[in-house]
Amino acid sequence: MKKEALIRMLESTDLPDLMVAGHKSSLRKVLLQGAYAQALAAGGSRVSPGNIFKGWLNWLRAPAWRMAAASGLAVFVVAAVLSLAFYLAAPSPSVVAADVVKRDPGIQQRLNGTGEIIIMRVDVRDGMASVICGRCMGDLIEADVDINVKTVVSARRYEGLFIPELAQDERERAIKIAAADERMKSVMDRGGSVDRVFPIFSSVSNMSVIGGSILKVAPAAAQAIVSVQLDGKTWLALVDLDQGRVERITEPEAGNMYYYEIFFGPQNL
Amino acid sequence: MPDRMTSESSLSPDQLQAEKELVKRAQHSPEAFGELYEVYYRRIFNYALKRTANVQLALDITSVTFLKAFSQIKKYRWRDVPFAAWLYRIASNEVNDHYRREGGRRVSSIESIADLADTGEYIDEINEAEEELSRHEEFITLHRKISELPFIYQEVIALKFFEKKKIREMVKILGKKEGTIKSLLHRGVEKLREQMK
Repeated sequence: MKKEALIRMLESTDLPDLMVAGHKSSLRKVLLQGAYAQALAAGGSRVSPGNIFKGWLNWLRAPAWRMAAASGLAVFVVAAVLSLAFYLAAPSPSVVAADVVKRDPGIQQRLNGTGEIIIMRVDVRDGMASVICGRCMGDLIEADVDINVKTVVSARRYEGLFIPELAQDERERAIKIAAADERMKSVMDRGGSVDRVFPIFSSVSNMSVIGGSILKVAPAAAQAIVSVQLDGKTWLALVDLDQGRVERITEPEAGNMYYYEIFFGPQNL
Repeated sequence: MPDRMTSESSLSPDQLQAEKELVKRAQHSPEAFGELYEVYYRRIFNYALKRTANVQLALDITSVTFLKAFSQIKKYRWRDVPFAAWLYRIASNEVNDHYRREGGRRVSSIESIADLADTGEYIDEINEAEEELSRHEEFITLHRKISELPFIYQEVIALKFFEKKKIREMVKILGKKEGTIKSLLHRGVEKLREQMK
C-alpha cells in the first residue's frame, strides 16, 4: 500500500462515536456526589518535605522576618529536622495504598470467603497506586487507589487460582528451617511462637491477566512464609523449602503487616 | 460554556478565558468540575475507545481519567492551554500504562468499583455499544495494525487521524516539540504502511 493511500484510508475511515449514558451518569455520581467527592472536600492535599521547605522559605523571605532570619535559623533547623523525622515516620504511599485496600468494605465483600486479605503487589505512580490482593484462596482483585484521598477508585476482579495449603510435612519443614535461622531463633528463644505458615506464589511479577483470568500464577510448593509472633509484633520469614534456607526476614510493626514486603523486599515500599 | 465540539485550538480568546475561569472554579467546586465533565466526557471516552477498540476498557480508562483529573485539579496550573489537552494527556498515559502493564495484551475488565452502581444497570448499553463498534470493520482492522506499533506512534496517529488534532494541539497534549511530533508522525505512518503490507 502506498503511503498516500494509507493516509487517505486513515483520514476517511468511518470512526466510532459512541456513548454509554449509564456509565456517564454513574461516574458523575461517584465523582460529584459520592464518598470520593466528600473525601476530596475533606482535604486531599499531601504534605511533602518540599512543600514544608517552600513554606518556610517563603516565611523567611517575608520582609518583616528578614532581619530575624539569622537568629531564627536555629529554630528553623530544629523544626526542619523534626518535620523530616515526622515525614519519614509516616507510612509510605505503598503502605497507605495497601492499608486502604485491606480496609475497603467493597474489596472485602468482593473477595468472598474469610481469612486475611493478602497484598501481593503495589505499584505507585502519580499519586495513584495499583494494588493486587486476594485471600489465601480464590479470586484476586486489582484495585486503583487514590493515595491523596485514601480511596479505592476502581477495581477489577479476576478469577484466581486455588492455592493449596502446605502439606503437614512441608509446614513442619518450613518451621524447622525458619527456626534454624539465627535471627528467627533469637525471636523464638525469647518466647516467640509460630503463628501461621503460608504457601506463596512463585512469581507474582510474572503474572499476566488475559480475559479476566490470572495466568502464570502458580503456587510455589518450594516456598513458604513462616510467621512468628512476640510481644504483639510479627516476624515473617520467607523460606525456600528446596534450598533449605531462609531467603528474607521482615519485622513489620504490629498490625501493619504486609506480605508483599517479603516478596519484593523493603526497597519497594 | 462555549461549544467544545470544535477543535480546541479554535477556541477564541474569550472562550479560553471562560474555560480558565471554569477550571478555577472547579478547583474548589465539584459542581464546576461537573460542567467540565459534561463537556469532555464523550470526547475522552471516544478517544479511549479509538485507542483500545474495546468498550469496557475504554469505560474504565475514562473513569480513571476523570477520577485522576478530579483528584489532581487543585494542583492544576493554567498555562493558556485548553483543559482538554490535560485530559487527553491523562487518558493517553492511562492507555499506554495499561498496555505496558499487561504486556500489550488486552484485558477484559470484569467490574469497576468506580461505577459503584452495578454495571448490570447499563450492561445492555455496553452490549449495544460493542455491537455498534463491531460494525466499524475498517476501523477495527486499522486499529489492529496500529496497536502493533510502539505506543508513541499509536498516540500520534490516533490524535492526528482519529481525533483530527492539529500539530499545535498535539504539542500541547503530548508536551513535545512540533518537529518531534512531525517526525513521529512521519515514522509512525511509515511503520504502519510496512505493517499493512
